[in-house]
This record gives sequence, structure tokens and C-alpha cells, in this order.
Amino acid sequence: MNPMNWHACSRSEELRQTFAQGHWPDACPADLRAHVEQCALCANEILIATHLQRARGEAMSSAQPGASNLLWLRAQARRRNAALERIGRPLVAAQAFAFAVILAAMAGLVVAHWHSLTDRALSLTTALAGWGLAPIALGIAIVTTLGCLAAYLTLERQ
Amino acid sequence: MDRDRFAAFYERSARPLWAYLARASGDPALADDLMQESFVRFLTAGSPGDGEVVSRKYLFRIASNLLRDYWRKPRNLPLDDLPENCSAAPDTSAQTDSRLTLDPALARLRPRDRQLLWLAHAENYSHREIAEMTGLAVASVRLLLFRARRRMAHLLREKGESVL
Repeated sequence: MNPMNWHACSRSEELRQTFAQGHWPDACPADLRAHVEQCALCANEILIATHLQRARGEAMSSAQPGASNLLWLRAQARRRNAALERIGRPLVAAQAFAFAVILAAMAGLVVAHWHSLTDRALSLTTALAGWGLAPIALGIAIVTTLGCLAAYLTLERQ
Repeated sequence: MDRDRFAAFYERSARPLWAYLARASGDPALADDLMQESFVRFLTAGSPGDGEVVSRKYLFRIASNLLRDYWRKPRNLPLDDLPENCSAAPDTSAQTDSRLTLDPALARLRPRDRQLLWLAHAENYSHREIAEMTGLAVASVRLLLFRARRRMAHLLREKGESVL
């Protein structure tokens, strides 16, 4: 072995070049060949490279790549989808902003008319309590609101 | 890259890429899927620059990332914990001698070792290029390759293989 350090040999690069150029073993310089016989690291390198190059040739000959056109079209479709998603992002942000504005406006209205609303709610609750329907009415209102919201979000996503 | 240039690039690169994916994963069907996905991502990501060499390195980098993602999926064991003969289903397309000597040896290596050995000795990439493709440090590539080579050579010699 001609050690450069414990896991590399100073002649491994030269050997690699010789192998890559197809000079191994017949056109390889005699001294390099003699070195490989004595250097365990270089011997390993040649042994593995020989087998893997052969395996590469076999695997490449057995590969059956499909038509490039299909991949081209798939890539175009993916690009288009990505572009549409990019375009849609500001719209989603605008929708969120509009929703926030509406909520704020509703909150403002409630605050502004708090007293009259509480009076009306009290009278309504009194009336409903008289009929025993207050919990049911409240439940229906909540379910309706949430249902509308869910339907809107589903349709919007589609 | 326009359609014609891509077709030419595909013609030259598809087989080496498939060979890499099939041998590193040990699964030809998976290699088919990953090869297609690699080319689609290559196209959607845009050209990495001019030149066949740069493009091919970029393609192999994408493929290496896909392999790594596949190995890291929750349903799979982490890369380093994979059993040595995992994902080493027999490659029915392989032929002749390599079946008898190389395939059993490769099957007993860890997936990452197979990957590094293939990139270094079948594709002739440098340590730096392999580091760029795999996301490992150059020093790590050097050390992992040394260990993988030593183990691979030992396995091949068990089968009676020699250099000269």
C-alpha cells in the first residue's frame, strides 16, 4: 500500500483515471499494475469498479424507459397546476380579509345596538321560554350557521 | 429546456438513471416510478444551467433525494436501520455473472452504501459531486465509501472474485 492516509491511497486517483479511460488491465502501466497487486485499497477499488461497470451495462440494456412525451406532458400539467395555485393564493387572502371585515362590521353593529338587542332578546327568550323552545331554537340556529359555513368552504375548495 | 432538447436528454439519461435507481433500491418497479418522477421534477424545476453534465448531475440529485425520501417514509425503517438485505428483491432484468456474484453482495449492503458505491464506481462521480447529490459532507462520503468498498470487496472475495 502507498498510504496517503488510512483510508485512501495516493495512487487511487491515477488508478481511477486509468480505469475510466478503459486502460485497465491491458493498457495499464506496469508499475501501476504492480502497485494494485500490493495495495489492498486499490485492489478493492478495481474489484468493485469492474463489477459495477459490468452491472451498469447490464442494467442499462435491460432498462425500458417510456416515451419522453408523456413525461413532458405530465410536467406541463404540474406546472400549470402550480401556476393556478399561485394565482389563487391572493384570492384566498382577499376572501379571508373580506370575511374579517364582515365579522368586524357585525361586531360593530352589535356593540352599537347592544341595548335594543338585549331588550329584544329578552322579550324573545321570555316568549320562547313560555313555549319551552328556546334550547331547540338556539341549536337550530347554530347548526344552520355552521352548515352554511361548511357548505361554503367545501364549494369554494372545489 | 424545450421539448426536443428534453427528448434528446431523456434518450441519453434515462437508462443510466434507471440503472442507478434499480441497483440502489434493488427494486426495478420502484426504479420505474422514481425515474419518471425524477424527470418530471427536473422539468418543473427549470433548467439548472447549460450543459449535459450539469443537467445530468442535477437529475441524479433529484433521484437521490427521492430515494432518500422513500427510505425515510414512516412506513419504512430509517435509512441506517434498514436490514442489510432489505429491498433487495431479485432484479429479474439482470443477466449473467452479476447475478451470481454482484447481486448477493449488493443485497447484503445497506441501501446508502449501494447508492454511494454506484455513484462512485458505476457513474464515476467524484466525492464532491456525490456529496452534492446526496446532501452528505465530502468527508462523510469519503469515509462511508471506504467502509462500503471494504465490505463489498470482502463479500465479493467470499464468492471467489479477484482483481487480476
